[in-house]
Amino acid sequence: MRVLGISCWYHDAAACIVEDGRIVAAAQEERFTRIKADESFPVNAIRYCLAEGGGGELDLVAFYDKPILKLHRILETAIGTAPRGFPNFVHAVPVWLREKLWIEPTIQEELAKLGVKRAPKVCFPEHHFSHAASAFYPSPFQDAAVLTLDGVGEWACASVGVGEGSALRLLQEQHFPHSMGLLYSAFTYFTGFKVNSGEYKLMGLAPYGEGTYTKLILEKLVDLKEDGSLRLDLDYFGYLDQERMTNDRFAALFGGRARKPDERITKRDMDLAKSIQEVCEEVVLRSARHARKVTGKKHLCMAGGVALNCVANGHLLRAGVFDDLWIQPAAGDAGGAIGAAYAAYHGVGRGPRTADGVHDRMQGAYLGPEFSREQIESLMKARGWVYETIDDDAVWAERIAQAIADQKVVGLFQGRMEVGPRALGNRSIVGDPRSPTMQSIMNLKIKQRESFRPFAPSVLAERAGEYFELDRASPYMLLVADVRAERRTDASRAHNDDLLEWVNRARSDVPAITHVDHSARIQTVHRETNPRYHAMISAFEAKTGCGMVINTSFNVRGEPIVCTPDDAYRCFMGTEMDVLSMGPFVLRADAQPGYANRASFRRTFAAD
Amino acid sequence: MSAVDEVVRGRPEAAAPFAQPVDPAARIAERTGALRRRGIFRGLVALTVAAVLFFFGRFVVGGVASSLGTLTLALAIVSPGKGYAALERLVDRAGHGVGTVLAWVLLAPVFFLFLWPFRVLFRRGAQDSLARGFDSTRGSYWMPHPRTGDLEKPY
Repeated sequence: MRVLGISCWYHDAAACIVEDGRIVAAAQEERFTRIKADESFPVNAIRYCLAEGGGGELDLVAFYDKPILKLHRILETAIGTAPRGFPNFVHAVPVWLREKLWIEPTIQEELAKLGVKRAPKVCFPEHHFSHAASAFYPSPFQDAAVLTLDGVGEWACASVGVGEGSALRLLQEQHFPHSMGLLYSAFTYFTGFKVNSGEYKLMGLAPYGEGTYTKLILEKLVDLKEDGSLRLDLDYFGYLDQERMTNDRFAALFGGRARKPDERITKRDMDLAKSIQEVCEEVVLRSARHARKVTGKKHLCMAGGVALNCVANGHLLRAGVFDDLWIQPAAGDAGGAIGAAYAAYHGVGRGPRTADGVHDRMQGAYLGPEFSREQIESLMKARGWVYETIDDDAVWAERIAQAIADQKVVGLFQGRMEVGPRALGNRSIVGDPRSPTMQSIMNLKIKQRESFRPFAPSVLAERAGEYFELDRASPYMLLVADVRAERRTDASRAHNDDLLEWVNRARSDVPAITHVDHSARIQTVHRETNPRYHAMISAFEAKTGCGMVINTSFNVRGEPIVCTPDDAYRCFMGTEMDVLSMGPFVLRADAQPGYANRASFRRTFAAD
Repeated sequence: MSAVDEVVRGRPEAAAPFAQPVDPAARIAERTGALRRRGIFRGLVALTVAAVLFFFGRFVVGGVASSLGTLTLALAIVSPGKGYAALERLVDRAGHGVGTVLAWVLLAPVFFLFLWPFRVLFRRGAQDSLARGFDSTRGSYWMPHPRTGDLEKPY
């Protein structure tokens, strides 16, 4: 049985094909259109997924939410906020009338254009059911509690469920407008970052601040119950009846207006980031305890945008509420396509499910397009790019490792593109984590983004315990753990320290990946999943004694992660990267035609 | 967290449509061709409408339609990439403006005559579907899932 899952028309559209319980392909539309978090109907992603599945007919199509329930919520909100909510109503209704009400005919029409002859049945799992399905069905657990937390779906903003074999049920939920995801987004907006994409920046900013507002948030903004359920005091928020997340009362509570995106980040912003992060961690922890109590299960699966908060995930893991935890790597709305496909496969198609307790079904999240050697070489020849071919993987690993050890910044383009927000070695920029200046260099010269943003390590799975206080695999970069105490150096901040100066201060023997609170967002690299990447890091270890590299996504600020060889080359030449590795080919920046005029390769993307 | 499943390699045929980026010159030529075709079609439609109007003696309106049609046709033939594209942008912007005004005009009665009275009624009955305000009497805000979950229905 073959099922196509689709998510779109909110943010981060995506498609996925599940065939007989196995994910054949999954990809986000933004990677093909080059529009960050593209929400449009994912025609390119669907075309790719269908082709990866080898063509043929579809048995089912699943859309990741129930549109009529969502419209019901919008109308109820309009009634509940009348007359002030009129502008929101006027903006929402035409979009619904134009496209969102016609999902099934649109799907049928677009599939017909892509050559799908027989119109398949279209299913509509609830938004949080799609999230729950994306968390449970690909997990390694035969049975588990499921917790989903995000901004909002139809009505639900959070849910607790239970999965047993191929059966998945949602047991409880919390309703809009009381949402942990929207609360976090409100602070994202207030601190000057973009809602729906800047949340992880706020999380990265948190360790620079102090939780001075935590008590105030819990007293004034949130009524948080022991079981993690919450209500917000909506007198402080604007998202119900205005076109902004917070209002003047919110600003007055925190002593001034929201930061504008181009303004300097102040101590207040850092403290707000830390405070809302503490609240988020508490909500996740209490909700997980509640899920354990309600379901009695030993394992937990998580999805929804809040599940991408890897700091909260690490906190939850250390609290030991569950024996083990599995988080969908594409936990946001893109993963809804995966969940919807699984929900239809098991729920409508009655497909069987097996789980061995060890292996998940996400295949390392390497579920996107892979370009062959011939495809890459043909493009390079046509464009006149200068490259060297290294067919022996061991020699290749040695060469790349040497470049990194020589303080070069290397773009890695190989194998299948990752699905979800993280690059895990196939569309990555890598560098030397031992360098105290590498974080700043990579942020400003390569990524062209804020200097405070931390980088993550890709560490050999078998070495992770030597560097971090982590006792399990973290293949999807969704867990945060501290660098081991014996590796840390004292780099506490004096009161009047400049932020940039503080960022650049070494805090361990791998300073480029050690955040100011000595934490790191870890990707464990496994030989079985990505042998080439593993071999390269092993070669780096053999040279330097350091079994990890810096890993950041292959893109610049505001750009989707690169998808094709052409995207990779343009990004490589538009930044100050030194080396690009594409499959067996290695390209040196200074050998390329047009090197003297690198700026001409730079594309502008709207800042995220 | 667990170990991961075996990774299956991607099919080059699936990546093929994305492997060779469209040549910028070809992309421009394709866009220009599409603009020209669209412009000629729209210009001819306007001229046809003008002819019908002239036939029925509506000379002023017919004159406006024929002028617009001639301008559209001329720009589409002579300068599709610049002149006609600019005209199309202008018309789109005007259309968007008209659409926005219409949305406000048409939706205002729906909102103020239909939805707002519900709000007044609900407020009188102390009902709030958005459940605003804290409730200290409740130990939990979790509620049972309503079990509407028929996967095959959009509601």
